[in-house]
Amino acid sequence: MNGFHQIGWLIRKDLALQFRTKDTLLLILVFSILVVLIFIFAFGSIFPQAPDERGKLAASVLWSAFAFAGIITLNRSFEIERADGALHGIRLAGIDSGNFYLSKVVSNLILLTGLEVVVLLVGLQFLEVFDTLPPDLQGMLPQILLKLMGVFAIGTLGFCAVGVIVSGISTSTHGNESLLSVILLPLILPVIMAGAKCTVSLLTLGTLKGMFWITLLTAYSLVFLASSFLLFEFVIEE
Amino acid sequence: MTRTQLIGIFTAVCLFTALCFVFSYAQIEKTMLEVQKIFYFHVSSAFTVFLAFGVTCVCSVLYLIKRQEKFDLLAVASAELGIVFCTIVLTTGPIWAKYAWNTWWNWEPRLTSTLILWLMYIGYFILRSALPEEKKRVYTAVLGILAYLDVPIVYFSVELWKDKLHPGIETKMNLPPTMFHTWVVAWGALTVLYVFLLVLRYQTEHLNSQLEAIQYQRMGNREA
Repeated sequence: MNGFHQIGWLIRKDLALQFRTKDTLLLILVFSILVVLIFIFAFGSIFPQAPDERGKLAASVLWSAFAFAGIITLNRSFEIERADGALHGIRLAGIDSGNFYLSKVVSNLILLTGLEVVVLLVGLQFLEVFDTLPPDLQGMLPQILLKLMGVFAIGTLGFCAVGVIVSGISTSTHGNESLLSVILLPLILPVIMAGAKCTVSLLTLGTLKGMFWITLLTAYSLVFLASSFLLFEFVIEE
Repeated sequence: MTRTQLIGIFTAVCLFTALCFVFSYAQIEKTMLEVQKIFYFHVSSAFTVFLAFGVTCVCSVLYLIKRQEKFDLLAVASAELGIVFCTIVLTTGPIWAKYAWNTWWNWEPRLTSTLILWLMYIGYFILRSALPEEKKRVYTAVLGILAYLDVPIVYFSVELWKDKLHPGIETKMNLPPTMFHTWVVAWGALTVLYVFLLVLRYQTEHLNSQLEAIQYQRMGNREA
């Protein structure tokens, strides 16, 4: 079985486990929508009315929701490998550590991007961004949404690139859920900053032209994908 | 006299020289007056932070390759000192900000990225204390490398992010010669202090590790 086959089978295994029980999917979906609602209720009457202010707020709310939901997803995805020695089985089956890492990144990326599609639409509607969008951007809405999904996908790739290796480390401790957040959140701050900036630009100007942030987001994702790929072997060694 | 004691004396001399430079050689800045002298320790500490975390990263790589305990001990000792110097930056920074910009906290790039770095390495130690004995060395080495890779990206993104938020504040400055010389001396003194503390922490950690090994051996003998 070559590398691509290994990665393919591992992704299928991860997705099959998630879609069979559906508990994580439901959990992260409800959790993300709740985060959006909490922001809306917390802002209450001081919720900004100007379209560009709304775009800025929507970007911060959505990226916060995705970061928190991402932490839950990553924790769950590694817990199932640590439970009942599943990881030993994978190692004994001769699976390469790099392939295992890539499969985890891709399966989490698929799950989180799927979640983001739903939460993005629901969140933007709840935050009334669609209604307050400037008239010249209303006609470009499908393109803006597509570009937004692209930005979220690249950001999520960076998030998963670091998150998978850190969750691999944190799940071998006690009280790992809170530990993952403490270690991962400072590491992914550049993703949140760059992602939010790109989102604001798309929601207020409808374009990413002249934005250096998207390059930064891509560079971050690639740097950490490569370095974590090389380091992952040490995380699952016994 | 041991080598450590000699380094200690040398460190004390360097620090004393740096203080002499700061308070008698460097000219007084016209707008911030004496408060500007924080600069010599603030910026030098920030440089030492990068050095300390750099040493942690290099020792972590060496530990993963060679699996020698000394590299792990050096990495941890250096990370501890990095946090100490980070704390100095984070306490002197707000004092500077209060006098320069009339606020205790300003999202100035160096200060903000130091705060993020501080949080990252606090996480490093929380992780180390939560991990089981057999895994903590390898896992913290991995995190030490990942965290250091993040340092330039964090600094760069905070700088970009800040530019849009506070366009008016100019942090770059051209130093007159007396100030520049003083800063170089202060930086050198803090680097020597870092090396001295690193040697001390390494020796302590090494003794701790030897003590633990003896205790395990004794427990083993008793059970046998």
